[in-house]
Formats: sequence, structure tokens, C-alpha cells
Amino acid sequence: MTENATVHSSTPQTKRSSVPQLLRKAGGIYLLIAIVVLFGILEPDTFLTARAAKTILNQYSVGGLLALSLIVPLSAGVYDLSIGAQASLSSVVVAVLISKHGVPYPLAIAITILIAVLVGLFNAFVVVALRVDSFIGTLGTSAILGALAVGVTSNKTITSAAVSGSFQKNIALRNFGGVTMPVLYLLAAMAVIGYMMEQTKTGRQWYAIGFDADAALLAGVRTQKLRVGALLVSAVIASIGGIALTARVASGTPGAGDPYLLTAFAGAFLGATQFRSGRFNAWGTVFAVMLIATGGYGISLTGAPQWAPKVFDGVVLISAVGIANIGGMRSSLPKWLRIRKNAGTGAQSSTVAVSADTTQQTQMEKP
Amino acid sequence: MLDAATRRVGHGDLSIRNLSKTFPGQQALDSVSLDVHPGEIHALLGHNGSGKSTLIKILAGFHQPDAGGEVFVADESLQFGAPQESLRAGLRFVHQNLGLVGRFSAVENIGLGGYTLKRGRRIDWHTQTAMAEALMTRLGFEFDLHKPLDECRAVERTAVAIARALDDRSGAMRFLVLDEPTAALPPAEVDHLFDLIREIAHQNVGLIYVSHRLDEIEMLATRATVLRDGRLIGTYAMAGLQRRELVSILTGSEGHDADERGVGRVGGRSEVAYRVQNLRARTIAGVSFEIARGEILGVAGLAGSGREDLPTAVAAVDETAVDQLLIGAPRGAATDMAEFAGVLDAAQMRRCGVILALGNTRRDAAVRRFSVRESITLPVLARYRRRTRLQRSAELQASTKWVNELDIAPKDVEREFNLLSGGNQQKVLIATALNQNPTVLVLDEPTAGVDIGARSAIYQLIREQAAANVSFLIVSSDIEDLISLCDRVLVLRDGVITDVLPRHRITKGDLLTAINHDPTGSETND
Repeated sequence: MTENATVHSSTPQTKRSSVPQLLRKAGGIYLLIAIVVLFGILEPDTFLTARAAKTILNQYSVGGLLALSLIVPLSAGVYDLSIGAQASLSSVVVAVLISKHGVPYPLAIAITILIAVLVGLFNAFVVVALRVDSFIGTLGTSAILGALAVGVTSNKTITSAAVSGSFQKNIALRNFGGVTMPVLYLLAAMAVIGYMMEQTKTGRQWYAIGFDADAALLAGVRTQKLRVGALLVSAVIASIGGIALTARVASGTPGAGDPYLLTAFAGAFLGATQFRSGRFNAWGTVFAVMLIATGGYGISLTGAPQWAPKVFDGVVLISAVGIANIGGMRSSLPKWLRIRKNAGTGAQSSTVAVSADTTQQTQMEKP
Repeated sequence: MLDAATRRVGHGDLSIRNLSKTFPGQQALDSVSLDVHPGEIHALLGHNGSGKSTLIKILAGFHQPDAGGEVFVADESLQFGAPQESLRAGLRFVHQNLGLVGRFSAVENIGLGGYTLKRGRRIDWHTQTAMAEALMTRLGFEFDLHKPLDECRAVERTAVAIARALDDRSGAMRFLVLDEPTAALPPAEVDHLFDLIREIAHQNVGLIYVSHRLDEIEMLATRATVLRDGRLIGTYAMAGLQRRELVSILTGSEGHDADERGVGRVGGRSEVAYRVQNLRARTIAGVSFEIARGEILGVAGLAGSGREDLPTAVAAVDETAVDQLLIGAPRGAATDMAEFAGVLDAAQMRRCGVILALGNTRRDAAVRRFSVRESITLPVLARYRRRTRLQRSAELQASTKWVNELDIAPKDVEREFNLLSGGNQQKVLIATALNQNPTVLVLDEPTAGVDIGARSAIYQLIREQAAANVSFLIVSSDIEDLISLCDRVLVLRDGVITDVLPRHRITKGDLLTAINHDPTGSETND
């Protein structure tokens, strides 16, 4: 961003990022500080340690990957509710291939990702070709994938010496000062998706069709192709999340990936309120997942019952959408999530009123 | 000039006294006072950003004004910031977008604010229908009230919005605010609306009429209040006020005339830029025409004449077929004309330089959440790419050039499209199209919702580009656009061309006659 300011100093003002501005763009930092202070006081011996930080990172790397997988379709205006089931299926498929069929683990991973691509194509077929609403379509896929995971495992947890051997060691346990491999996958996925969304033509066009598919189409954007691509990306990254999950726990259990769906949504929506206000973005999403992770971990340390962190996830998801609604980021949300106040005359929605206000103020700035 | 601030509150009037509104860092309204009498049609004039909308939103209860201001409705002080209070006081609003549900019928829409219920909390459709019928009859409209509004005429939709304002279950309507009611209305239906407005005024309702179209104000209003930069310029009696005076009051400058025509145009063009035979799409039954290089060709027609579908048809966004189509080579290229037949492809049209800029009134004209920079570069992103990475500096350079050239305000390319005024949004749409190096630029409603200043800037820009050999197809329901800009005008009706007006016949009278003329000879009832 700073490069622009120097290139065109005499022309329209460009925005320069500064520390205060960064704080304003990432209001979640205050929440993070509050959480750290709260649990720092409640559990000073266990919470404020490097070990706790590493545990948080390691534990939530899978949730982070799933959240990242979501932001591509969400940016492009498509829901992918099948990522949790996709992770579950990938988790058991890689375990079954290694344990029951003796497939070497690199090949097993490759096959698993290939299956994920097929699932992504199936989603694309349902959503793009059959024009089923993505919310419904991917929900359907999710049910099918869940059933398949049960089918290939006969509803048993799959584990073997091979899975807990070199596979687990190389894919998950190898670490760099306590930070394990899945964290690196998360950071790599963040870098790649962040680059794609913000620096490439494809990313810009994904945002365009997410905001207004009709307008994008009129601007010559190939909306169908881009939606197919978005669903493929989410399937593959969710699958990597599933494989990492199996490697972490050295077993594949049907349904093990399902609970991450909620974390992923909470992370993606809270992430959209951070850094690039109003747009789903990679940096904000990873930050948001870590915020959720810190809160969840802190709650579990206090000896709260096992269900308590889940409550925190749910609260975060609702608040993220709520904040976006109140904070004027309404239009980044899908239409049915936006607040609509009844205007009394019945002739105007609040959305119209608010956008008109800002127009008003903007024009006033003219000399 | 009548000084409302010091005048006593008139009996039965809507009296606005010293109303101010400060937004953070911005005085949107600065001690404005005015009176509207019952039964009067009072025009509220001012450019985009003059404070009109703020004033209306205060009246509607959306904004809380600064302390010190007061509004009286028939001697009763209005409580601010509560839409229900405004409603109860008898203030009604018909906003530009009408706020109707397109898939609902007139009956459903009219009841939307609160249906009459019967036992078991079921909606009493019988009463609801009777009420809708009574209201529409009172407005002098007769059409199928159970048909979805999407299938009704534009003026019928406006009438439904007004009928809903008339619904007196929450108290009688005393004052009605109409915000740009003709913006989306075809010319032939405007007269119908005017009759309706006069009828409402006749029923002793005071009307505040907001419009950018001065001819409408001259036809309808008895008095006009002008706002500029949030301040009251004055309230004027319309009788005897010259157009030129009104324009100079509005713009605050002398001799600013949006009507000047053909400035700096070059004549004698013969080279063909676009020639089509038997173009068919949606409501277009088959039209043939050609555009010379640098020519500005206009298209006029009633709603439903095929006019609305022509821009998207020429760009082949809708399924479009032709017998033959010739498109001239892009500017500066040495290649021959491109030739097509059969079904057209949108990407092909774009590659040949046929570029569409939809009017800002169409929702899908732009990705409204994008910045100015992102909007301008979206159709040609590949141009700003090096390997896989978009070069932000190249994007900035291109968008900055357009912002300067078209004088888009504020000069901030990172500003969200949504946050610009209507006129500036329209300029961005045109910039986006020009940035694609068009051979033929198809402009749909280029000045809808645009104030006079921006309108003449857009006219000037179109003339300059035409002089630089860009060909234009201007499809507009605003006769002023056609009169001020066009070299020829095609008139559409029932999907075919019924008339072609040469330059000397492009006058208001000739245009209206041609648009309303039914070649089959039967009486028109539009």
C-alpha cells in the first residue's frame, strides 16, 4: 500500500497504513487482550505460558484450515456447508488407505485429495449446473459425505501401527520448537489464499461475483467458472484439514471433522470484520480463529464443563454477524443475514436510508 | 421571496423552522425554514448533496436534527426521530425506489404496512382487496390488482406506492413527499402521474416534489424552495420565473446552460462503425440500423417498446441473434471489419469494442461495494496483471487518470462506489466503459438521477469522445438527453423501428409525437 503513495503523491490520496489504523481495522485485538488478561488472572500458572500458546496453535490448526477453506466460496457468494463432512471423509479415507490397504502414506494423501477434488466437482455440478441454492446443495452433499465416511469404516475408528508410525510423525508430529506441522499448513494456506484473494485477477473476480454476480457478469466476469473454482478450493483445503486431523490423533473417526464447521463459520465471519473491513480475508480469518481458540482454551482451563467452549464458538459466530450488521458492513453479508428495520412508512428499508446518509456526507466534502 | 424563518406558523401548514443537521465533520443542513401549504405542490430543488435528502429523512423520522429546529404539522409540533410519529402526524413519503415487493400484487403491497385481520389472525383478503380497489379508484387507476407488480406498468407501480401512502388507518395523509417519482417513468406515463399528483393536491394534501427535471417543476409546482450546500437559498413563486433564472439560482452561477447542443462536433462522417440487420432479443422483434464512426445515435420509445432491452441486446448479454452484423475495427487498428451472423456471444462483442454501460438506476450496473479503482479495472483486469499478480500501481494510474479527466469527486480512487453521489457514480460507469477502448459505446439512461451540473459534464464528455471517433448508442427515456446529444434518433415500438428522426427533427414535440404514434392507426392509450 505504501508503494502507491510514493508513485502518485501528486494525485488522489492513497491510504497509508499506520499502527493506529491497523488497530482500528482489527478491533478484535482488544477482545484478544481482554481474553488474555481475564484468563491470565484466573489461571496465571497454566494460561500465560509458551506451552499454552503452542497448544492453542496446534489444536486449532485444523479449525483454521477449515475456516480458510470457507472464505473462498463465501467471498464468491457461495456457501459450502460440506467442508466439515469433507474433512471427516478425508480423515477416514486416508486412515483406511494406509491401515487396510497398505498404501504408502504419500500416495494415500494424493488419492484422498483427488477424491476431494471429485467431491468439489460434485458440489459444483449441484450448485452451478443444477442451480440448486448452495446452502441447500452443499448441505445435501454434507449428508452424503457423512454417510460415506460411516460406510468405508463400518462406523469404527480406524487406526493402525502404520497410521501412528511414519505418517503421524512426518505429517503431524514433526515440530519446530513445539510448533507442529499442521500449523505450517495453516500458515501456508493463509499465505496462498491471502495472495489469491488480494493480488490476483481470480481473487478480485471472486469478490466481484460475491458482491453482485449480475454486475460482474455484465463486466465480462465468467461467474460460473469462478464458482466451480471456489468450490474446488474449499474441498481441497478442507480435505487437507481432514488429513492433518488424522495425523494429529493417529486415527480416523467418522464425523471427527464435523464439529469444525461451526468454528470455520465463526472464524470466517469474525475474520471479515478484521483488517479488510467487510470482506472475507485470510489474515482476519486466521486471527479470528486464534481468538476463538484462545477463548476456548481459557475456558477449558478453568475447569468448565466440556461443552462450554462450544458455547463460546456459537456466541462468537452470532456476535461477528451482529457486529457486521451494526458496524455498517451489512452489505458484505448475504442478504438474509442483514438487519431490516421496519421503517414505519413501510416505504423504505434501513439499508437504503443508511447508504443514502453516507452518500450525503460524502458529497458534503466536495469543496 | 418569502421569509419563512420569521413568519408565523400558518394554519394547517407544514412549517419547518431553523432545521439543522450536523453529521460528523459535516453540516448537512444549516438552519433551513420553509412552509408548505395544504393543497400546494411545492418543489424542493438542489443538487445531489444540497441537503434535500437530509431534510426529507428528518421529516420521515430517520434522522434526529440538531437541537433548536422545529417542525409543525398543522400547528402541532412534530416529535423527531420516530417514523411512527411522522406517520401519525400525517406525513407520507414515496421514495425513489418506491419500496414495493415486485413479486407481490398491488393488494398485497398496499396492505404490507399492516393487514386487516380476522378471526384466528388470518389476513382478511376480502377487506384488503376492497380497500386496495377503493384507493386505486380514488387515484383514477384501473388494472388487475392481483397481478404481480413486476408485470405492471411503471406508472402503476408508482400509483401503488402512493396508494399505500393514502392508506389512512394510521391517520389521514396531510402532506406527501415525492422523491424523484419520474426517474424510472417512461415519458408517456409521466402525464398520467402528473394528473394523479394534481388530483391529490386538489384533495387538499400538500405535496413536496423533489426532482432534477426542471420542465416537470415548471409544469407542476406553484412554489419552489432551493437548497444549496445545506443552506436555504430561498422560496420562489414559480409563476413568471424564467428557466435561466432558476438554473442560475440552482447552480449559484450565471448562464450555466445544460441545453447547449452540438458544441465542438465535427461533421461529415461516413465510415460505418456498426451495422446490424435483423437484431432479435427478448422484446426486440427485429431491428436493423447502422452507426457511423463518431456518430451519436439515440433510441427512444415507450416502456415495453423494446427500448429497455436494446442496450443488453446490442452487447449480447441476453440471448441475441442477427442476420448480419458488421463491426468496425477498433480505433487505430488496421484490420478489417468483423462480421457475425446467427447467435451472438457477449465476450465477442466486448472484444470487438462494443461496450455497454448500464444506467446507474439499474441495480446491476456496477459492483457497488467495490472501490472506484476496482470498478474501473474489473472488466479489463488482465491488462493490469504481470504473471499472476495484479499491479496495483498500474490500476491506480489508470483509475486516477479517469478520476481527473471526468472530474469525479471526491478525487479518491479508493472510495467505495456506493458512497459517491449519483452523478459521480454515473461518471464512474462511463469511465469504466471508456477504459475498455470502445468502438461503439452503448449508454443506457446516462443521466437518470443526475443533477444539472453533472449532466452537462456528462454531455460534454460524450461530445468529446464522439469527436474522437467513438460511436455512441444512447438509449434514454429522458428526452433531454436525446435533444441535447443525438445526431439521429431511432424510435421503437413493439420491438421494431417505427421512425428515424434526423437531427433537425429531434425536438420535444417531434419526439413525443413519434414515440406515441401508433403506426397501426389505432388509438393509443398509454
